[in-house]
This record gives sequence, C-alpha cells and structure tokens, in this order.
Amino acid sequence: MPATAAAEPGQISYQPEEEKHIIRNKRGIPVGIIPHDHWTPLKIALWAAISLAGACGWVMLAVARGEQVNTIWFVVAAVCTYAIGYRFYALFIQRKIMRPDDANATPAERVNNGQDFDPTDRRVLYGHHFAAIAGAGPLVGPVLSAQMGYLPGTIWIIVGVCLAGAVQDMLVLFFSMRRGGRSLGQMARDEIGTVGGTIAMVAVFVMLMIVLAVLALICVNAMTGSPWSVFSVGCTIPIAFLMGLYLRYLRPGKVSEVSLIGFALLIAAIIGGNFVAQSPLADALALTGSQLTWAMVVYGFFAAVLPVWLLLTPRDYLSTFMKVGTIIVLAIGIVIVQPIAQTAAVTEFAGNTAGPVFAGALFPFLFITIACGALSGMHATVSSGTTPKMIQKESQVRMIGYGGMLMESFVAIMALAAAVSLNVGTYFAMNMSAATIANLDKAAVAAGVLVDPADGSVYQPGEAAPATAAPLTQEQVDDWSAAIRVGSATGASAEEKAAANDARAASAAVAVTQLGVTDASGDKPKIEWDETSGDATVQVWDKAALEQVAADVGEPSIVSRTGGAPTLAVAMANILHRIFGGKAMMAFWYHFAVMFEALFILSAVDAVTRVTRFQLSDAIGNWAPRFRDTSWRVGAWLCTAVVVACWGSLLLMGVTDPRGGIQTLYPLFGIANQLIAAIALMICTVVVVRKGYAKWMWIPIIPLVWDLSTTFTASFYKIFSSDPALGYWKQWSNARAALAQPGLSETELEAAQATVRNTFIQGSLSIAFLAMAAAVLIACVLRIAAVLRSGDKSSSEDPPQESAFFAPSHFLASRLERKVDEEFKQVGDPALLIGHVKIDR
Amino acid sequence: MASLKRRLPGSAAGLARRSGAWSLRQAAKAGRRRLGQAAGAAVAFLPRCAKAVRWYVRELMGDSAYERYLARFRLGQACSDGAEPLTEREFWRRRSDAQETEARCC
Repeated sequence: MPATAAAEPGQISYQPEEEKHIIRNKRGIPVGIIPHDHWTPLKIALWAAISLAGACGWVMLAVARGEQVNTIWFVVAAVCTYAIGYRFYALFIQRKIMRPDDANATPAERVNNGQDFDPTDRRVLYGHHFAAIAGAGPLVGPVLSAQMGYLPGTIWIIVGVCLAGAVQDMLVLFFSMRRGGRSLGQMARDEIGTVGGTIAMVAVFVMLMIVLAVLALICVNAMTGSPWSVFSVGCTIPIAFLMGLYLRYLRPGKVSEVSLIGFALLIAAIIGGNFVAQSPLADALALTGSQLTWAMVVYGFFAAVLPVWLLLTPRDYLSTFMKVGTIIVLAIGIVIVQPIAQTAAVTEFAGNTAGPVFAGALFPFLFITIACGALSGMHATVSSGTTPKMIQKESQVRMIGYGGMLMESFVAIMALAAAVSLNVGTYFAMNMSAATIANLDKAAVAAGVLVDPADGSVYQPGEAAPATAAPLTQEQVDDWSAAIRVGSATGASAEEKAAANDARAASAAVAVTQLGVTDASGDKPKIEWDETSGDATVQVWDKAALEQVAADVGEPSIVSRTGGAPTLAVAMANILHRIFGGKAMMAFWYHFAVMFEALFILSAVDAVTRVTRFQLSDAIGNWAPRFRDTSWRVGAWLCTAVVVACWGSLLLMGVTDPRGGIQTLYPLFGIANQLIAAIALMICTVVVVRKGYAKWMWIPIIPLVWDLSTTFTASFYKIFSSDPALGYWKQWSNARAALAQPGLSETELEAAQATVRNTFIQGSLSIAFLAMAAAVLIACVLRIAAVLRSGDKSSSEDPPQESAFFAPSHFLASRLERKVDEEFKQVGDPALLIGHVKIDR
Repeated sequence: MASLKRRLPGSAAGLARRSGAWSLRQAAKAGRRRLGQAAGAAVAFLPRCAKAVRWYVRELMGDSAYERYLARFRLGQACSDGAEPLTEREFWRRRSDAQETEARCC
C-alpha cells in the first residue's frame, strides 16, 4: 500500500466530478465508487489490439496447419481471451445477476472477528483463493487429454473457463457471500429443500471419495518402483514435522521463515534422492504399487488424527510456496523455450474409443477428463465457506472469483503446452497400461512387425531392416509379460526388477507402432530421444530411446507411468533443462515436478480426509450424539478409519486393476467432479430465479446444460455401452463369460476375477452418481417451477446492512480509489483498518 | 523535426541543446548523468519493490497475524479473558489449537 504522509482530516479534496462518483454511507464515510468508465480512443485501441492478438493466436492454433505450431500461441490465445472474458462477460454477469452493492457490508465487515471472518486485502485474498483451488487437477487432466491432440483441449480449457468454470466460481462466491459465507451444502438445503439438499450432501461425500482415490492413484503411479521419488516424497513428512516443531516450540509465528527452510530442505531431499537411488538402499525403496497403497492409507489415517500443527499446517505452507514456484517456473520455461507442438491438432483418438490413455471419444469424454482449468466442482466448496468470509467489498468478487479461476486455467494451458511438446511416441509409451501394451503387442505379432534383438529397434513389415531383425513372435511377447509380472511382484530381486524394466521398454516400443494415431507431421508416432555423451548428441529410437529417457530423468523405467503426473514431469524436465543446467539437471527437474505434484495431492488427501471425517461424525451424531464431540478420540479415530477405508479400497482396486487403474477409474473421477459442478450450478440457477432474475437464468444454465449433457452422456456410455472399451457392465459380462471358460491359467483367472469385482463396483458407482445427480436436478427443476409459478421473491440473502468500509475493487487501484482510500484511512473505523492497512512494526 | 527532438528528453541532441552545448563529448557526459539518475531511481525503486514483496508474502503466509491481534487487542476488541494481551508464543499456541477442531475446507 502506498505510504503517504499522514494528513489531517479534511485535507483531501475532490473535484466535483470526482465527488459525484463516490458512494457514502449515512455518516458520510466513503464506502465505494460508482463505476464510471468511459471509452476513450486509447482504450478502444488497446482492446482492439488485445482482440487482434487473441485472434492471431487462435488462427495459428486452429487454422494454420503445418508441422510447426509454436506453443507460445497457446499462451497468447489464452491470455487475450481471458482478458476479453474478464472485461466483458464477467462484467456483464456482474451487472445483470450479481449487482454488487458496495453500500452493503460483507460478512467479513459485519463479523470482523479477526479469525475466519477477517477482511483481507483483495490481492492477498486472491493468492489465498488461488492456492486453495489450484492443486494437481489442472496439471493432470490436460496431459491426459493430449491423446486427442492439442486443439480440443485448448478450446475447452479457454472457452470453458470463460463461460463455465469462472462463472461458477464467481457466482458461488457471490451468493455465499450474500449469505454470511454459508457452505455449498447449507445453501443446497436452503435453496432446494431438505430432501434435495441431503441427497446433494451425500453425493458430494461419495464423489469426494472417488476423487481422493484417483488423486492418490496418480501419486502411487508416479512413485512405483522409483526409489528416488519414494525417498524425496517421503522426506516431505519429516520435513513437515520439523517445520511444525519449529513453529510450535522454537520460533512461533515465523511462517515465511520456516517455509523457506522447508523449501530448502525439500530441494536437498530431491538432490539427496539421487544418491539414495544409487545406494544399496535403493532396492528397499523400490516399492510396488500395493506396498505404496498401504503406505498411503496408513499415512492418510495418521495425517488426519495427528495434531494439525504437526503435519497439516506446515505442509500447507510448503504447498503454497511450491504452487507459486511451479507456476513461475512453468511460465518461464514455455515463454523462453517456446517448444513446438509434436502432437497433431486433432488426432484419430478424438473420433474413436481406441485411445490408450483414457477410453472414449471427444464428446463427452474430453469434457470430463479436463475438469480443473475449465470447470471444476471442487472449487465450489472453496468458493463457499472459506473465501466469502474474508472478502472486503462486494465489487471485489469478480476479481477474486472469476480472476482466480482464470489463473488456474492458465496453469492448465501451460501443462497442456508442455505435454504436447513431448515426443508423441514417448507420451504414449508412458501413458499406456501394461494390459494395453500386451494387447497391442499381440496385434504387432499378427501384423508381422520385425524387432532387432540387438537394440530393440522396431521395423514395419516391408521397411528396410538390418539382417539381425527377426519377426516378433507370441512367445517373445509372453516372455515380456512374464518378466514384467515377476519383476513387479513384492519381493522381486534386483535382477528380476531390471529384467522387468527391460521387458517394459521393449514391449512398449513395439506397442507404440500399433497405435492408430499420427503425429503433427502426419506420420506414425516414433519414439525418439536425444542421447548426449560428452559434446556429441545422437538421436536414438524405440527401446533405446525409452531407456535413454529413463536414464536422463534418473528412473529405472518410465513405461506405463499412467496418471499424467510423470508425463508432465518428463515434459517439464525436457523444457527446463534447456534453460537451467542442461541434460545433467534433467533428473532434478523431473523429480522436482513429481515432488510438487505429490505434495499437492498429499495436501488434498489429508485435508479432505479430515473434512469428510468431521462430516461423517456429524452425520453419525444424529443417532449417537457422542460422535458430535470432536475431542472424543475414539470417535475421531473410528470415523477417520471409515473414511480412509472408503478411498483406500478404491485406491487398491485401481492399483491392482488388470486393465490399468487410470484408464478405468479416471472417467469415474471426472464424472464425479463434474457432477459436483452441476450441483453447484443448479443451486446458482435456483438462486438467480428466486432473486427475480429469471430473464438472465441462461447465464448459469449455459454451463449447466453443457455439464449435464457431458456427464449424463458419459455416465450412459459407462453403464449401457456395448463397446468393451467403455461400458463397465459390458466389461463385467465379458469377464464373467471368460471365467466360465475352462482351461484358464492362474493369472488369467485372477485377472478375470478382479475385473468382475472392479467393474461391478465401478458400474454401481456410475449408476449411483447418475441417480443422485438426477434426483438433485429434479428437485431443482421443481423448485424453479414453484418459484416461477408463485412469483415468490423471498430471498435467503442476509438483510442489507450499511457498510462503513472502503477498499478498491481491482488488482490495481485507480487514481480516485487511491484518493478515497487515503480519506478512509483518516475517517474509517480503526477496527476495520486492521485488515486494511499494513501495520508497521 | 526540431520540435520533435526537443520533446524527446532521452535523445542526446535534446540533452545537449538543453545544457547549451553542442560538443559530442558533453552530450555523452550529459547522457551518462541522465543514465546515472535513472539508475538512482531504479535503486530507490528496488527497496520499495522488496518491501511490497515482503508485505505480500507475510500477509499471504500469515506471519502478520500476531501484529493484527495486538492491534485488535489495543482497540479493546480482542477475544481475550485477561487484561494483558497474549504473548506471541501463547497466541500461536491457541491459534493452532483452535484449528484442531475446525473442519477446514479442501
């Protein structure tokens, strides 16, 4: 805040023109400024330039066809479209259905208790809000969506955020603020009635479990068989303990200081992981997926029952620090390196269900795969309950709600740009499950693909091949599968693990050639990588390339690392090493990226476990009142155990799924997340209608209809499709038929049994989600119809209360706002100035 | 053209004319002086930036909570049972204990 000499009251004088725009309360204290923007030639020129630059960006992305699409155009198109969305559409919504009134006091001003209701500087609150909504979500979805090419994902992220995601966040924030900062669940009960509200609450609880399971699965997939990642991510726990003890006993309140120390220790842990990975300890830390799942479950339980100061709070500080760092690093990487997109604008997988990363065609599956960054239901829980209790003025909602979501969308765009700049063959080798690879290898045998046993190079039939190359046989493929199975079992020896990694690279190199997809130059994807030894750089292909990628990033293998996080880590390392540190630093950047994604995920896992534990004990409290007592240890432990068991069992199901957990569970996760968004948007629509703005109800209805049509179509496919790539029940009946056949080997039998079990659970969950969302939808429609029929305008808003507080509306204060701010510092209530003015020591 | 040059304060010719001299050396000297002023302004600007960054980080991470509490206490609004404000250590202890039972949002 600009420091100016203390002036005597009355010293600030306004021009009559200026005074006209100042809103004053009855006591004459300034509380706001009437918007009075005029179009000047300069402003018109500026917005014309922004529109033109944005149009150029879109033309380069969508129309200009060629092999060389620079990812900097992603950034240009995104930033210009965001600016237009913020300036025009968000303002339009603000004027039509929000109508903020700065003469009305916000909950933060009304209660102002210095705790949860604390008027917080808009720029600081923007940071808080962003840190609360951003996590692993915007980094993962766009990476997975890259299998359809860069264009569908880019359009959905940019257009989706402007018309859907940012609108939802802003409206929920505004409506919650007008209701004393009530949570989404409370608003649901108030707006759509007890039955609909209760169903909505239960739906959100079940959906959160699947969200946690998939987030944890992404984390487990990134760490399986990787001693370096296990060590560095594991180190975050003792580092958080140290930080917690430091803050509790050594230097209380020195939050930034301890965060810096923690950050330095994190970097040390990443560097130290390299040495651990090469030490005899490595073998003990190369954990299997099941081992990591149990570790995660045990960890989740303790994180939720340990005192918050010991683990949760310090890890939140670290997470906030890393969030800012990540965005800066990503932005620098993309703007300076300006990588070229390697994927085609739209690939074949956009039109069919053969995509190996996740099953399903563009509509509807793209729109549930990319959630955070375009539209995410999780944000509604932050936008209600936490942020609205801290907002200073009603007119700041646009900047925090809409603006915060735009920033998240920008992160998603950068993640997408990074992912599509990765070599296409490498991308698919990393994102195919072992089962998909085995199936594609079978096709390769039938197609007569040749493999050179010397270096694992793959040749198409008819292609010029060296004399040593021989046709691939089914025995060879079976040998690979057997080696992988032996090497991934608990208790495998170091040799067996190495053999498994060798088999993974060899089998993936063959499988990639069988994908029905082409890259940016229209060719079949080819796994290529640069190998640098000394000053010389040579290009390597196929199996050798996959092994080189793994060696560069310091991993035993990068094949089948599904979930998006490791792919983004490789892509980021591939970009950043060109600016910082060269090839030698690639492994560091890879593990830096894995570390921050794991950190975001672990923060979400323990925070949500804690919250849902409270919800559960509250619900059980209806029958057994003792559970309501949050200090009753046994009750807290029991409820935590139930919550952890819920997501832990889903996680174990994903990790052991014979068809690959991400491919089968991710759609369920996407549907769940987007159904929470649907519930939030339905509540917004009801609020808008009840307020008497039925004419403008299309504003929340546009994203709602889109969201409902994608989630309902996706759910229908998942339940009823006879395509075994999509339908859970089709998979279930296929697996049952397989079980009935005689002569199954033991592994086949196990796989079929697991598939029957898993698809049954997944199919049932799909039905439950659909039923619950439909029930909430019916409740909302009935409610809207009733309101429209009766013309009932009774509002659930808190009655207006005169404000006595002033703060600027946007990130940068205007000249008049600065002037009024000075006056407010002299005449304002000192209790309100605490959160307003920087206090000098 | 001449008027344009006069309006551009950064151009060496404009500088030289204003200082009443036409020799190239003097123009260069004047330019250096100006550059020095710009550097001086930048040096003065940096601490302000650093101060702003420090303020932002402290507010975002919550370092300033105790100072706010004290300010609030002095206004007689603090939720405290004693007449004396809590010490910094006590304040943070109570704050983290209060977080224990509150359900935080994700």
